[in-house]
Amino acid sequence: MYHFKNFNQIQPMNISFDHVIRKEQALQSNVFRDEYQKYLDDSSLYSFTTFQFDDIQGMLDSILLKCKTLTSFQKDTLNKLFIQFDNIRQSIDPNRLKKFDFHFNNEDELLLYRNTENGLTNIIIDNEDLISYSFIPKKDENSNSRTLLFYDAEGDFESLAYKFFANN
Amino acid sequence: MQPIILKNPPIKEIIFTVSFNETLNVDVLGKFKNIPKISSKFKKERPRFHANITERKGKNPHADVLNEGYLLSDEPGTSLLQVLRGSFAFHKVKEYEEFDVLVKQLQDYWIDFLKSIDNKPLTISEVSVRYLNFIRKDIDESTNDLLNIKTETPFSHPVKGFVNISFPYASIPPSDVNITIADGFIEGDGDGVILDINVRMPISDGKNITKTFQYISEIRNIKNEIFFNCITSKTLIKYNQ
Repeated sequence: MYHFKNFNQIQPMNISFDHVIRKEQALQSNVFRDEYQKYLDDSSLYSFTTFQFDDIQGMLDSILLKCKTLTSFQKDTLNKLFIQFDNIRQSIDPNRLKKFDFHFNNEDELLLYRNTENGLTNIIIDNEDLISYSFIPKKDENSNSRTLLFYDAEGDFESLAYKFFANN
Repeated sequence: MQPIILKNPPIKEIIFTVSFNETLNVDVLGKFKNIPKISSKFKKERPRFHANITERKGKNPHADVLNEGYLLSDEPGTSLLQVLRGSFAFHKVKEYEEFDVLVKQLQDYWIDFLKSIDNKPLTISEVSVRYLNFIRKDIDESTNDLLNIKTETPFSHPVKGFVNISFPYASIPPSDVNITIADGFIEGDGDGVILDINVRMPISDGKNITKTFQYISEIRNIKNEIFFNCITSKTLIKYNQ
């Protein structure tokens, strides 16, 4: 008899902004911006490695495709977060965008998390109306920085995005 | 071993970038460009902005135009400063200057920047040094003649080269290297290949400005090692005449 996997329990997957950051850096050049832009604009150029980088929208789409049973609230929240990630890319510093993992659990919650040497940072989006942010430091001497915050649909997503990528 | 100093280096642009943890308001950024020392040298300004378009049910979409910062340029266009809400960059374009001289200029501009924001203590999170070189292709020369990073294929159709390589470098503190090689064209030089070397160094004690700028100075050895490993002896001779 076969035991089928619970398909809600998707294996953790990750999002890396490396390609987004490299694209921004390439176009930062005053001398060669136009040359690099040609590679971005015309993917039909024969090239050894095509200059195709992920963009922020593509990353959001990849989460939506992998987590097919997200509720409207979860999709809307993700969209708002990714708008802020894009603002960080354009307005602040693309280097702030760090790799994160995501996971859709048995309780229909979407988890975005970063596990670094400083601690564990989580954004948990439930299926109805609540978003929670937490940071759990790894070192005991930093226990004062342990944080738990709650947001709703009208919350400050800009500061939530900054918090998510802090605590490297 | 003495470092090699080319008589005629193929450098077209040098970019130093300082990233910091704090996010500054756009209003605060404006004070730096109005410092007399800065405004008298950097007379050209190009604002940076982007638009967020949001859908609204039953109404026309709404566009928010957000100011991100600005790019300042001196009159000849050989020195540029890019000021964003979370990073500060100094470009040297089409004019060679010694590394130490450029780092000193960067440090001076950085200190002026801090003064303009009332000496708000910024925590530097990362520094990067990027050298963009352009190696001219003479008749019958290919990228493989000029660089040690090979882009050969067994296929008969010509391949327009674009290669991107990234790897960690065991420096103290550890750094990341990104090398981009792409075919290009520059007025005056003609066809050639771009050799774009970027060394990024995350900083953990970012409130110590002196130490941070010492790290930037140490990046010089890394980028030199990478550069001279990338070029062939043919290129070395070409730019040492």
